[in-house]
Amino acid sequence: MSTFIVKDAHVTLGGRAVLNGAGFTASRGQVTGLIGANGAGKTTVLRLLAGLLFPAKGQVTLDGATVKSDIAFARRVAYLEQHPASQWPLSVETLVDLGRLPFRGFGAKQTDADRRAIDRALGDTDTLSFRDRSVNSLSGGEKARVFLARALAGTPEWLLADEPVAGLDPAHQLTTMQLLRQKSQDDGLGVVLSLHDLTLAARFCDHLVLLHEGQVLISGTPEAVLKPQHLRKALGIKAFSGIHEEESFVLPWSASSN
Amino acid sequence: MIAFFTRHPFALHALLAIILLVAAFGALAVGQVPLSLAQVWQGLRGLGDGLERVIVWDIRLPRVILAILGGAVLGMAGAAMQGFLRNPLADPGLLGVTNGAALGAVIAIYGGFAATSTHSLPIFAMIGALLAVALACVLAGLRSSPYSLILAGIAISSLFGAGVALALNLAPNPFAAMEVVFWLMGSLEGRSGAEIILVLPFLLLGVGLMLSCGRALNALSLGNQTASSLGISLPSVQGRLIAGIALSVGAITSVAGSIGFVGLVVPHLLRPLVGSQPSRLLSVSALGGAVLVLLADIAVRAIPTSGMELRLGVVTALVGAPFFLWLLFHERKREGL
Repeated sequence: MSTFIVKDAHVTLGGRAVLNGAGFTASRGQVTGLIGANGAGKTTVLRLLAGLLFPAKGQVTLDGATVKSDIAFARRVAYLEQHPASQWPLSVETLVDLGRLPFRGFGAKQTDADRRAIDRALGDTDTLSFRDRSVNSLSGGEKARVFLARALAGTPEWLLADEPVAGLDPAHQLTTMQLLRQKSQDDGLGVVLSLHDLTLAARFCDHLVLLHEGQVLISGTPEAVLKPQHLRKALGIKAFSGIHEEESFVLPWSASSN
Repeated sequence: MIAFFTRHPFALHALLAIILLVAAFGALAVGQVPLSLAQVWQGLRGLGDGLERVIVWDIRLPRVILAILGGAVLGMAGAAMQGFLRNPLADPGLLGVTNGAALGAVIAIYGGFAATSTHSLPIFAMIGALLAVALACVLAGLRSSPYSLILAGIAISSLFGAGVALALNLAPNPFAAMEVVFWLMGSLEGRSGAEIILVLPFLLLGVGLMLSCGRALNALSLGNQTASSLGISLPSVQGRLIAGIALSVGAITSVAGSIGFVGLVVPHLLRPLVGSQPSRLLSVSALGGAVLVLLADIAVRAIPTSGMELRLGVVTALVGAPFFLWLLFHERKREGL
């Protein structure tokens, strides 16, 4: 089983210790959710996994090998940054096609495999109808789905997504999370994503990592992680939780003064 | 029409190439001794009376070829620069290439080297251009972000520009100052095959380096992080692009002086026709730049002046700036701003 292992990672950015000794494991075929307050280190963890940043101390490995962003890695691991944007008004299809870049040699044309992967990614994210539109003409939520399609078009083994559902309407939040869970169960996609919605985290993630001040406060199943004492310590909230249709929900109710 | 060209990139290339070919024939016909197209054709084939052959082959053809090469390089370098910096206002001159070449040229003129050998001015200018870019790179640090590189480029550019101004300020006589000023305005007057041979290797190398970055420029539309995650090595792309721009723009500036506006306007103009894809914009901007500089050079020769011929850099700016403004207003209206 393919696994990402983060061990004792220390990262300092702009003089601030963003991570000090964070560690956890993410496995393929599962959805791993990173939760935590603003500044807890979620984005930094994802950038470490993507090989865009290297720990000053500690290590980050994929299947035992130290993570390094090159073509071979890019074919296996897709990274979706927070607030993705395109500088130029590319068409949606052109943008999604960029996800195929690691598979295309210099000057090579689009292949049938490329076209199939693009069609599938557009279909999966419910964006087929935008195909010929300019990215800049889309709404924030539509854009977020198109960029998710860009990441999925590379048919990766792993998807690292930084808040992929932020800014989506409720229906698309649910369908996107559903899609990612389904991809992980059916295609064995490994998903590591950050999110703030605790109910989505509880319902759609197999595994949660709760970050607090640059360290992992606790990681494990949603039931084990989303306990009142953890939420109070890491997020500073009291939550109302319960069970609906055999699934649990967690509703942040009041900000506790710790 | 935009949609048609976006779908059929070959058609756009073909159209620009045809315009370029027609303009090239026109450029061969226009000049102090006007030739008919039939005479041009005769001259090209080495037929007709000796005069036509000499005018076409020895006087006008080198100039036309240099205009095409120069425009192509400036257009492509502009597209590469805008794609790399993700900024539609970027221009190859930002790296210090132009002012570096200018200072080199000034040294050649004042040092008296330009008077002793025809090749020394371009060689000095080329060295100046490469030196300016190399200094900017060292100043910014090797693994710098594009923005610190631009800041360093602007600083170096100003420094070299100050050097040129100082030389003008301290000019021993008005004629020396005039010579520098005219050189700075850019011209293709009196260029020969020798200059083409001198710069061609640098132009080809530079163009090759820029074209090798096409895919990377596409990926960079999504930002540095996402481009890296797609397997693009940013330091390698930055190195190749800067070297490509420095070599090609430095070379053309060293023989033609500074020709402004082409690198800024042409990519901006053609971007909608390639669906804004930075990789496609490279070759299309090369064709567009060649057309623009060639037309400007025709204008230079066709517009009657008493005494000196108009300067190429003056014409590209005079035609380019109002057109650019018109375009910006047009875009603003369309976007309803």
